[in-house]
Amino acid sequence: MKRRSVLALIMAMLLVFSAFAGCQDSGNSSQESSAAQEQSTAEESKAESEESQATQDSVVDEPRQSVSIMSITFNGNPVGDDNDRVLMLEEYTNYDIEFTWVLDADYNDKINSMMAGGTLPEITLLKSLSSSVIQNCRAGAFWDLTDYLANYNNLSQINETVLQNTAIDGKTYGIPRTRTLMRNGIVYRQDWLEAVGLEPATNLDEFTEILRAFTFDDPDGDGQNDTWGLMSTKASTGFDTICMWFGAPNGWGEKDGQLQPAFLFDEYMDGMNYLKDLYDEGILNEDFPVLENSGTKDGFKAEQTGIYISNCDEANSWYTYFADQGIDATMTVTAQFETPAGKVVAPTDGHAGMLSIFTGAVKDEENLDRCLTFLDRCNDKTAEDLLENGILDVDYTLNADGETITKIDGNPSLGESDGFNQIMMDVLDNGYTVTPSNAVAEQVLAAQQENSDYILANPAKVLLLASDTYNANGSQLDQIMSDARIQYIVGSIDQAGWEAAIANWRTMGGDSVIEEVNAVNSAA
Amino acid sequence: MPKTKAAAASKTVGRKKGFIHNLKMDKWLYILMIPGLLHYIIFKYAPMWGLVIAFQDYNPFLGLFKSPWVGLKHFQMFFSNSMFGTLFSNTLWVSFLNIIFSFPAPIILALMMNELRFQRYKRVVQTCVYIPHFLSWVIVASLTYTLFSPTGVVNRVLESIGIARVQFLTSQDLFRPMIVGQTIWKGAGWGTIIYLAAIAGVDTQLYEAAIVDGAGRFRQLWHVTLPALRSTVVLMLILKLGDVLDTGFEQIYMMSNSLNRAVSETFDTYVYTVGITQGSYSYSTAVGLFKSVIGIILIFGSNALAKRAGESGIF
Repeated sequence: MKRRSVLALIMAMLLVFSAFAGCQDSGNSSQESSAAQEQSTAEESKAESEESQATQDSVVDEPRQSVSIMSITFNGNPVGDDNDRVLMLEEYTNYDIEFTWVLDADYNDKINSMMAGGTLPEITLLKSLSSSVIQNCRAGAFWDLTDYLANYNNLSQINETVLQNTAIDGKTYGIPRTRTLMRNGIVYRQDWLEAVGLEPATNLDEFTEILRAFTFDDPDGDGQNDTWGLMSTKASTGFDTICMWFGAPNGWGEKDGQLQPAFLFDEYMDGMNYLKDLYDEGILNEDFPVLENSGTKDGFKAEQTGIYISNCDEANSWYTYFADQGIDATMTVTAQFETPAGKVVAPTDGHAGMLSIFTGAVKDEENLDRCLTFLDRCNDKTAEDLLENGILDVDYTLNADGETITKIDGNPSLGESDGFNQIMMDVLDNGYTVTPSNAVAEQVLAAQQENSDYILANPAKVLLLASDTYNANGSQLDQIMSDARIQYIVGSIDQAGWEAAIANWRTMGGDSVIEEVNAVNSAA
Repeated sequence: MPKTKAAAASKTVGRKKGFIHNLKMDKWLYILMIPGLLHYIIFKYAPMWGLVIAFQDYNPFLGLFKSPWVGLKHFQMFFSNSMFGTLFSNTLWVSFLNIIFSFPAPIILALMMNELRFQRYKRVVQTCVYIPHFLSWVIVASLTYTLFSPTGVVNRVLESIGIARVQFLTSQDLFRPMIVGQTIWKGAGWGTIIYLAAIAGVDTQLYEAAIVDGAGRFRQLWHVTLPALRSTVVLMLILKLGDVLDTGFEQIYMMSNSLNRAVSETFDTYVYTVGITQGSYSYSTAVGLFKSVIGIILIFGSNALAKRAGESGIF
């Protein structure tokens, strides 16, 4: 009897524990929603108190309207509704903005659950064109804006290529968060180059020479073999770029009269063999298949590697980082060097997702106009300065030349909170005032400028969105090939294994993807 | 005939009366039960209706009511998928190894701790072995990565004693042992609670009698402690079999990478890849439903077996 009761007690306690564990999630979300309520009540009271001074700085003299918007916070401490930046943006646009903030990690799940519950705000930031976004757009969850954009001053000027890249079935479902189409360049540690007595590469052989020297010639001079010539991560960043140097297309290319993915090209194999040699020689970091995606950037900061081939804007933040940490490091940024395939560089998508308008919350054209007007005003220079730089004389000061600014450390008006600049679309591309460039920043811009002439675009980028098989199975298909590529490079499969992976890719739906992409291509 | 019918009727009436009578008599107990019942109805049973999306082409915008019905399409897709065999065997392998190695671990640990004489020392040991349970899988995985990476502590030690480095994290052969090792490290200590409680409930007279009969420590363990634990072990085993296809998403997901994918892709990670990253909610629900059905069958099956073997079972 005694034994039974002790057991029962323990079991009961375990049950209670598990019940608590189960409650955690729902607890969180109720907290969130109560926070959201507080926000909106704060909103109302503030709106009342400011009615009198509301129209002072606004673009137009009209009764103030309101708009609700959902966006991302990365650190869970989003900017408050009473923050000066928010208030000034509200004054400028003449809109009361009701923010809903969601943590980056939960963002996509949240969109779907809020959509199912019909509680999605009027304007929603969609981080990328994932297949669930595409499905939702097709089902009519967001307004088709194609015919409306022309009516707005800024929104009518969105870059054509960017619009095409965000289009689903040829229709525009949101205002893209426009980004520079060319970001890539090659960043070298200049002091390492000097230490091993080499210059930035002008062709692939010289580049390989540098990789070898950065690995084995102790460029950091600490007497230890602790540097990698080339660092990659489990996302195998940059491998596609390197295959392009050997003549493989960017993503997809034309072969035998139809569009086919890059890995079906013989030139792709050449690129992989080059990488395999680097790995076998110990130049490519051994642990890349398990390294987290930030590994290369972290490695550059931790002085484990001295070459970075990707978004060379990073050099700007490293410049600040090295200066802050007192690390004596210099950098050189160059454009693409000569390769067997000539000078080729992949462009970016030119966008970082888009701001879309939920049909469940915005029912008619009149309200659509209200939302679009707000978004249009957010693209004005004054609004963008608020979003990107903050408040004049609080967050930054205007330089003597009247065109550039100097930022004040720590963004005083924001403090630790974040998320505010996430709703910036910047459709006019750098519509805000910039800081004067340092030596590295100038090189970055020059490299990006030069690389813009070498763009090799992915002809199937947009077409893939129309492939039903890719939407349903895309991430699995991509995983098959990226796994096989890593396995080939580290030598756990050989050429036959690689071909088996391709055969697997084909039967798992790859053949249908090729078919569907080409069907759309020939129809267009 | 009419007589028996009437008797049967009166019997049901009697039972009904009894039920209402019982209800009245213990009304406070039943009222106390309501919050618990509500919890289960609202948070456990009501969400089960969501399973209908396994038979739809669910789209969050169209919702549960407007999404088109597609019957068994997703199940057909799943069973005819060439991945199915791999997923099934990977999942079973991990579960099988866990039952062979991780399941007995807490029993052995509990028996060992039971032999500790010095009470304060025993308590310190207990606290120490409970701690890993409270670490999340993210932390366990990062510890593993730090220790076992090619340049990690373990490989440094191996190198220093002249053994070649081992690719613990990317080797297909070592993936399952690593998973089982992690499970034991994290869960064995916490698992001892139930067994220690069962051991504490053993009548001390039995031990005294055994000592009188001349049994040593090992004989006492074999003839008294283990038989006393038997029903608890069976109970835990039945519960364990119920989630034989649950391999624990977080652990597997964080330990998987491109080089061990052939053995590390299980139902749980597959549901994640397909359901969350591709947004095929219906398809992944169908996979999840399949998993649950297998779980239920195994619970009923093992429970029936346990009863046949003379144990009490779980229901």
